[in-house]
Amino acid sequence: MFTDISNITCGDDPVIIVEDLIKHFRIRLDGDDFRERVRLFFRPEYRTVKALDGVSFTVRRGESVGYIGLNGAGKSTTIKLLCGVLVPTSGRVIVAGIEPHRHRTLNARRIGLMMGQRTQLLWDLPVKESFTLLGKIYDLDPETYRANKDRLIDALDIRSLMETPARMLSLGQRTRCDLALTFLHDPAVVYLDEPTIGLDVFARERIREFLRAEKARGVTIFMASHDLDDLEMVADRVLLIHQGRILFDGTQADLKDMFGGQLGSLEDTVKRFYREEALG
Amino acid sequence: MGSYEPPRGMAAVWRYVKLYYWYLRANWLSLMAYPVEFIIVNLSGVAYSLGSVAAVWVLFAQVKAIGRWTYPEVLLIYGMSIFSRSLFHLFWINLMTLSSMVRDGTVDRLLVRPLNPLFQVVAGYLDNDDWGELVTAIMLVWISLGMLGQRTVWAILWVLLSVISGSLIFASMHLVGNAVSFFTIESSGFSRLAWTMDEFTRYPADIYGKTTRTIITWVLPVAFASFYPAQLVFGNEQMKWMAVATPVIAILTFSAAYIFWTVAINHYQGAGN
Amino acid sequence: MKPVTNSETYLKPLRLRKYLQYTRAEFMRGLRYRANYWATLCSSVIMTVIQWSLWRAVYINTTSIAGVSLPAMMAYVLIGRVISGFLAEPANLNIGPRVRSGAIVHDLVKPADLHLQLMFQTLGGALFRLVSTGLPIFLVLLITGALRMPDLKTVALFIVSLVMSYITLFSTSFVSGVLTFYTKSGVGVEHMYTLVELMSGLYVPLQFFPGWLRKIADLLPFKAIHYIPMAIWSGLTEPGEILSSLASQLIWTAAMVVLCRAIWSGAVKHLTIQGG
Repeated sequence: MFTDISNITCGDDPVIIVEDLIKHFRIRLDGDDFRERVRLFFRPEYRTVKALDGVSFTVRRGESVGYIGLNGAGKSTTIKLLCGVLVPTSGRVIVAGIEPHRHRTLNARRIGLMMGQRTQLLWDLPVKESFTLLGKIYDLDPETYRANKDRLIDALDIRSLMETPARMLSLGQRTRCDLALTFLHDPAVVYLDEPTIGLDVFARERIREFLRAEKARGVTIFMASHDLDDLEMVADRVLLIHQGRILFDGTQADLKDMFGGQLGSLEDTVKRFYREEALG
Repeated sequence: MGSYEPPRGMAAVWRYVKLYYWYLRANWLSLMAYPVEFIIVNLSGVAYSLGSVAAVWVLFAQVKAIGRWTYPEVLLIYGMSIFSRSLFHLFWINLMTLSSMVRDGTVDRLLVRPLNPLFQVVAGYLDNDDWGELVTAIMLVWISLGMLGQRTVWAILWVLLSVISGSLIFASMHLVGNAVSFFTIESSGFSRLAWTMDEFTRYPADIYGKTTRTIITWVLPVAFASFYPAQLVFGNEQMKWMAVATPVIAILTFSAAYIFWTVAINHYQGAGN
Repeated sequence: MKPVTNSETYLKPLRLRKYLQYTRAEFMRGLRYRANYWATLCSSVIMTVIQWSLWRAVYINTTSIAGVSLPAMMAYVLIGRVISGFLAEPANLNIGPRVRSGAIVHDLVKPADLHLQLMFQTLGGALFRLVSTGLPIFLVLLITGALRMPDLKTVALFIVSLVMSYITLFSTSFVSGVLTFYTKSGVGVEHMYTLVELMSGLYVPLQFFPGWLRKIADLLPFKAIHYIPMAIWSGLTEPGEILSSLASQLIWTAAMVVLCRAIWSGAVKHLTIQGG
């Protein structure tokens, strides 16, 4: 229908394969008023939430993908499944040849994850201490560690921040440091979950350049965001997810073409998909 | 890229030992970022443990024995109990944050690193407020050993081995109590239950009824954190073997708790939150 | 600009209903976690067993210690377990961090008095613990005969005393919470709460204290938290002395409330003038 993937050459070297992925959660009901709460306290009832309702896509090695959706669309759930944090209800996930949740540690060594709102910096310590510890955690040999650290420090221009305690960094500075930490161990795939929340244009521009350079080195980048503007950071491809289903899978240009070369807000875009579907 | 092979066997153990050093170092540096806070909080920590010690002291100002145990004996049991507890508190306290880590999702970070998640929780944070209780505990043990005429190298070494075992038993209780949050998110009640189990170890275990005594010996074996190992110091021939079994019991308990933890994490990965 | 301490609306009956909403909401929060509840009940049962066993062992060779008989001691300790949930140290009163993070602004612009709001809010949690863990333990103790009801007049006075106990306990935590705003250390009363519980007579009745410690305990407000109601119930306070005991509790409670108001309006002034 709207999912036109014919112009994307998959299969050369697929690094992420997601097939008919379903993830359901069971939530206990709380009740609205007092009497109902007491009733549910003694006799709980549950509701099933379909966070992912049959998602399929493939990502090639070195590709960069924008995974766009509104809050609650299923973005974070997808990333958790790709990282092996969650086990699928049904369907299949394969990252670099393995199922993440079955080989969690092995998978963890190959991937990087950055969660926009949650820093992995050691809060009270100078930034360099976070590098030291992560170098040990990922068991990097000293030469690799030093080479990667130097490359990332230069690319993100954070050398002057290395002695500053993380809690004293501005949001933009912290994001850059977090990005550097995410790429420190040469991950094959990097997941970025809302990495640009609250950042200004200038900071985003710098991050975009950095991501381009990493992509050129062969790193696969998978970025979840609720912001269509973030698409410019990841040039190749757009996956639009809504209510646990993929609405669109194609290039950024294709997405724009569908709507006459202009993209409105994400809400509008999602609505237009539904409208067109209703029309036929 | 991707050619990395994780170390196995003894190499893996050695790697974790080294990593623990690096975590401890970072934690210690973090504490030292607030030196004044560190001192004040620890002084109040001494006050905290003195509050409960004073209760025992006030009690013994009035009575000469609890059950068939004399003042120095009760004091040693009490001292070993809070010694075990403070060792647990010092090195395992981050287990308490598990519930909030599940709630705000930071627990996911543990699962995307190539390390054992429990190791990351335990190594991830060092509390600043329990060095005071440790000092109090050492003082109590030292004083009571003196009163018992048992201030020998062997007695001291045995007490040390016992309280390390005891801290492992406490850690097992709290590991289970907090791993519950992988099922229910909110686990403060279970966490409190684990703290309450500690209370059993403050007083001689034979003051409790038969059912209770069986439970704290064989089911949730907290009595091995203070009461049984202390018997070796008292020279109690009848309970000698129970005393000697302490380290074994500690390892068995911890293994069982670790299995529960693994099941809980697997449940979390299946159900999410 | 006038700081929003609205002392003119303080305790107007019309407003009471609004504050009771906080109590209700907090009570309902307790209902949310079932498994958690059973674990909490379990803890309370264990503490009751421990106390019961301990004092039985203490009295094994004697009938009276410091003038307290075993039945009176058991009544004292066991009623202490029943009300311990109600009088548990209230959490989240650390106002210092809220001030420093600026979150306090949201509290101050609300048309409610933060002091009263917190008092009624924590009351909800206290009542939940009283009904959900205190009551079942109380009933079991009554049925098994471990605890006996005193006459109705004593029970009534005990309940009056309990209300004041709650206010004193809350005030202690509140004062300590506001103090963290001045000390900037984050060390509150919870870090030395065992000392408060010791001086309040929760572990050991004040009769057991050596003379000098008893004098200190008498000079502190904490005995108005546990000792006074527990002593009324167990008969450690002679029937003829109950009223004077209640009067002294009233004085302590009132003093603590006044202290709360003073220290709180001081903090608010500090905040509105200096911006925190």
